[in-house]
Amino acid sequence: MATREAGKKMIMLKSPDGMEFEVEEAVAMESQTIRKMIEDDCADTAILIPNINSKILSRVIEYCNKHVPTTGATGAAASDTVAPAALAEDLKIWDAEFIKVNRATRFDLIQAASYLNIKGLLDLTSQTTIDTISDNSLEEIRSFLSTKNDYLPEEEQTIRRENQWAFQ
Amino acid sequence: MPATLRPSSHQWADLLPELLGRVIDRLPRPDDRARFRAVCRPWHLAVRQHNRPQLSWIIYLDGTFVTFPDHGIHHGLSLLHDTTFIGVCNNWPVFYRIANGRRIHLLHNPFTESTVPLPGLDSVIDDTSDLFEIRKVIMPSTEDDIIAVTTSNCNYPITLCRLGKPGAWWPQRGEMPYASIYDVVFYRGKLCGITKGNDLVVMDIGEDNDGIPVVKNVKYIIKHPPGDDDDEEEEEYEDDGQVSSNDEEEEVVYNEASSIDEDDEELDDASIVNDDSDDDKVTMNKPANKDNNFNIDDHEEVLSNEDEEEVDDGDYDDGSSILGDSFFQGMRPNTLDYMVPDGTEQLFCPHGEDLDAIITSRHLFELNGKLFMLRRQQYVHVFSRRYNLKIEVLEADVKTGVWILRMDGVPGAFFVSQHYSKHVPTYQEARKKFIHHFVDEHNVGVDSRSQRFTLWDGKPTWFFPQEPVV
Repeated sequence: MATREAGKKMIMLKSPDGMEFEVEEAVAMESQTIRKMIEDDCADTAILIPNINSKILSRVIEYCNKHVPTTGATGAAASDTVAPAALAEDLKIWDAEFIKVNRATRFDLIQAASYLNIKGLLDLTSQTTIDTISDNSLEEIRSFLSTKNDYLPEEEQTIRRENQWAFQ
Repeated sequence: MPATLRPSSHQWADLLPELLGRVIDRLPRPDDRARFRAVCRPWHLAVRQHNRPQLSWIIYLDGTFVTFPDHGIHHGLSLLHDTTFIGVCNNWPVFYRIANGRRIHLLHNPFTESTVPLPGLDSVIDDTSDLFEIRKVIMPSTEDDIIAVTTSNCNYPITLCRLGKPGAWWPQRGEMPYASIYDVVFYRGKLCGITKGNDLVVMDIGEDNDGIPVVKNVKYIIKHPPGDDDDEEEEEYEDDGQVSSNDEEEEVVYNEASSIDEDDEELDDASIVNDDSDDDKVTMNKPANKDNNFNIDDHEEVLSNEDEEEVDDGDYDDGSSILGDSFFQGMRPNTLDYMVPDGTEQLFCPHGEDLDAIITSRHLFELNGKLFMLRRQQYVHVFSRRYNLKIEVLEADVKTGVWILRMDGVPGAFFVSQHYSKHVPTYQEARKKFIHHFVDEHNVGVDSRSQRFTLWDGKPTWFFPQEPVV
């Protein structure tokens, strides 16, 4: 944080477990929720982000830092020297690494992305969930996402039979 | 992976409903949604709440599919290997492969990966040339297993058979009206066809002693429709000097063709309709096209004899061929087939540049117990994208036997592609009198690996996957 150029407005984000994160306003405004708070002048001192613990919030900030346009984490010169396509490819690879987390963290990230309304992160986390569903059998989906099967056996039979063609 | 339960805050079952909805919205495949709803009760509820009608896809031979209307590109649809993609029959993509010099036709369900053969059709089709194409494979929406197939070859312009069963019916070679029918739909248990001349025919379907579906009776609903002002138009074209100069030669061609097939009375019958016409521009492949040209438009284009897929007079040596004889040699070595018209007409523009043309294509639809013709006029320039000039919907008035232009719009949406078209009654868009989506307007050019289509087979096609029960 000490290396930040002067003149850039900084925003303080607070997690419910008491941690504080100082971020550039532009980074914080990747979140439409925070953007609205700032624009409505509700953000004089620090913004408390409820429901998102410091571990998840730090990951979310990491994501926003990477994705903030032009003068973001890669530095102001990045867009001058790197072709946009290469930059997008780089981001894609970074995203793929970023989302390699356990399912509990992924669950927290999707909830956080939803609450903070960060479209890119929401897309990323949703897509990972979609991939899980597309590529796996019912049993594997339940296992990977650790969702409890709350159907009675005969109910599950019926629900499978209704779309038998999808379970072959 | 053991299904150890996480603390309740990490239960994916308890994911916020809007997040579940977001995931469901991005599951284009009906089988994925069917499995999603089977995971647990909250997910089942979410699928119900976020259910939407299954809209169409454009499918590609390598399993790529493009969803509508978002143009999302997806991969991994199970299609048949080592086959050529023909088109779509209801929820089934249709393919063929060649074995021992004959075509083996297959319907393939990409979700169950089950395949049903069409041995009846296989027994009829003996044309493996590049000019041959199967135009449409249709099935009634009822439980019936009848399949109707239209082709470009007037030896068997229409074939009836049953799913998975041997035996087939097809008309005599060149028999009218079958050989001039370019599009068919099932309509109240009957087969309805529209001819090159915009005649509308109804074919009653019965079955023979072996249970093979046959056409028992044919009658015209619309014949020689009024509003035909083409005679004047054609004279005008001739005055413009833009009619192709080989009319007479083509007539000769036609007669030549007839003499070769002199046993075939149907062909002669077909040509009788126009025999008294002295400005005859009949091409051999369109024996009945002079009684037609129902065309309420008054644009001043020259009626061309040739559609791009009807360049068939090259079998003869009289020099009337546009593409030259050598083009055809080797493609259809021993056959003397007439191409069945495909419902398109190309009109060269007298005032445009040399190669500018207007192409009109027509498609038959059944909706709400009525028959409709969708007609599209496109302006074509050889170096730029074609664009729509006019799109019209005409309704068949069964009582008076005419086509009526619908000015008031038609509910729902027409999804049109060459090998499969469907009207979706529930689909709506704001502020549109009638909605039409032509597949070429949505063909979003997926990567080059997916463009594995030959000229004559398997052009991009709308496909409506089956709806899951929710």
